[in-house]
Amino acid sequence: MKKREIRNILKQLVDIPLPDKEKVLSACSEPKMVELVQIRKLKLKPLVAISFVLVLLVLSVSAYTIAAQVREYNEAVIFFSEYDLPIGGLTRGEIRKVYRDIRTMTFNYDKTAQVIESAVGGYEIFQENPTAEDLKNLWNYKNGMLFVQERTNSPVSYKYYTVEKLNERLGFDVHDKSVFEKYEKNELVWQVEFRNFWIEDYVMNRDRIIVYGRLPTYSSAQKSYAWIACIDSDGTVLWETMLYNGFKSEYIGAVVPTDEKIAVFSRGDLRYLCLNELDPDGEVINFHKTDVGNYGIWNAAKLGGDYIVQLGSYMTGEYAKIIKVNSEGVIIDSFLYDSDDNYYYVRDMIEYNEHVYLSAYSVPAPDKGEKDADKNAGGRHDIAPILRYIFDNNRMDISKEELTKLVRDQFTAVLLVCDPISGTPKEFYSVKGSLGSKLTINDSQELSWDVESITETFFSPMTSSFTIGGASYVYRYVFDKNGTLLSQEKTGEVVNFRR
Amino acid sequence: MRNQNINKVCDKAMIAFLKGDKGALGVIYDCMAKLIYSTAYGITGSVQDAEDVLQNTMIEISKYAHTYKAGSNPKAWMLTIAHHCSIDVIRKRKPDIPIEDSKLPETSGTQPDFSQIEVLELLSLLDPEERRILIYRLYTGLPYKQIASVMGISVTSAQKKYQRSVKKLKACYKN
Repeated sequence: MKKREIRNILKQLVDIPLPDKEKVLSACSEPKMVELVQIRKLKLKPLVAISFVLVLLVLSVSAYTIAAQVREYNEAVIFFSEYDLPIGGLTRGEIRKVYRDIRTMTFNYDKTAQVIESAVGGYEIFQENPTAEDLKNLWNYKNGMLFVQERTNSPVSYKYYTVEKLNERLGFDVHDKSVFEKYEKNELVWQVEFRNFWIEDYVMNRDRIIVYGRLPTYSSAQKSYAWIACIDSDGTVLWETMLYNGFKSEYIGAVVPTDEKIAVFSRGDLRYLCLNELDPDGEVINFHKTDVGNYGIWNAAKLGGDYIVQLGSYMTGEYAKIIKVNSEGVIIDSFLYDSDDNYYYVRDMIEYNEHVYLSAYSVPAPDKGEKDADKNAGGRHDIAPILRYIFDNNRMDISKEELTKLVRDQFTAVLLVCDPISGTPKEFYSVKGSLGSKLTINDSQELSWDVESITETFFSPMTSSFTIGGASYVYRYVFDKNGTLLSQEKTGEVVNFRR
Repeated sequence: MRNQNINKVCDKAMIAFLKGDKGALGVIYDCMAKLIYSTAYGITGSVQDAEDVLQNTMIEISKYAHTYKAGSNPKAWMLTIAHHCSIDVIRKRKPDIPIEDSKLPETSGTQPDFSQIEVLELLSLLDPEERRILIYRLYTGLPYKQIASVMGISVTSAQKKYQRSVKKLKACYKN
């Protein structure tokens, strides 16, 4: 089939009769008289061209040098306009220098900081004078490049990716292999390849790495199986196994490895919570499934001889449903962590010093009237009061500064600790204007809690994937075994905020 | 109507609408309705959904007219709105299924004629994103830059996805 034939078939779409025009237009709003926004670009071009010609005629100096300077200035003006950078107060020379500083990613010129800071706006962006690195982070963030600063406390890092290749029969690219790599000080140490599954995530257990994922499929008619593999510290694959529990579709939600066994929590046919226990050689020694309905498995951690598992549902807005599962896989307790005053959203959990810690964030619970009003929040319950404020007051043009303050007032990062016997969580530590993020145990065996401090937000009602977007700087809090806060630091990492 | 003319007429109509002339919305409808409606039909595969998309798009255009920049590209601006409305309509149709997994619905309601069945058969071979990209490129005639802008993806990604869709169709028809 040729493109022309496809195009001809698509042309048949023209023949579909249109619905009634009056009916469609009857629901449209009355026009609001507003001042027109004119595109400046159209006027700038002739102006720049005229000034270019004038400069050439009047000065009559080295044509090549001037042309080059003007060209650079023109490029700089377009660049400033494209990236919405403020030009006011800068001379032509300064504009060129800032342009060059950003283009070369040097960020050493002092005016660059002024320009980028005022372009991004924001709240608590810099606690001290911005370094070149800070500016580079912010610039990358502003242009949609998520920049993750390498963690300086560990020179070892892991990376995984998928390689695709063209399937001649199907005519499109399919999974060829998934590659898992270990780096030390950014140098590749080893890599292993998996052809049976594409990698979704991995967990560490002392010197072993447990990698898991699922069978690559390209049609909904195919069955989808979960796979798990174990790699030792030298990059040797010790074993690789497929979970076969009789489901049409199964994927692994969380893996909790210990020295004696590996607990694998999988989700079967989108409704069963399964506990698969594997011995250190990858043999299944225990399996139990429970019908829990349409809940995703978001996290799991060991609590004494049992497990704490976080189930969640984006559909029902349940983000803090915690269940306690015994070693047989049977649910022995279940609770939704909530209070009258706040809603909680759990994002990570970890076992540390015989307790389970939950990293979460809370938002104020609405009163009854507000609850009814927020029913149409489109699943975005955590920002419903902010959206209500914007729409009720017709503040579609709300500034970044005002919005950021509202968002920071709404969110609080909380670190919860579960009772070692019952598993019931209680609040342990909180940080206003932030979201709780990753929990890890660092090389000194201390508990490390990452907190995303909401730095800058903007309102975007016309995007389909988020309504409030922005960025957060990551702060790291470190606690000892007694729960004493040992240190806090700004990591330099910038992450997206999307709601 | 040629692309440039559509843009000129729509731009004038948007300016008139912003100056208080509600009738200008009718002009926009005359220029864009066919394109929005048939594109939405190709994407959603349902006459009812396409009607919803068209109506919602016109409502959004009137509601957010003040954000329109005079002298810019009104066709792309309106198609971006229609794109989001199509996604919203599919989401509402199957609330528990991710948008990436949605299928074309069985044809019901208004009985399509033979030619429409052929179009739906062709499009049902593709996933929703591939469908959208193929329609924008081969039916709507948008350049890659505008497709990328409408769909919120990079130009390279738009090119790759389009080529992959065409390859996929060729392979299916070969078999």
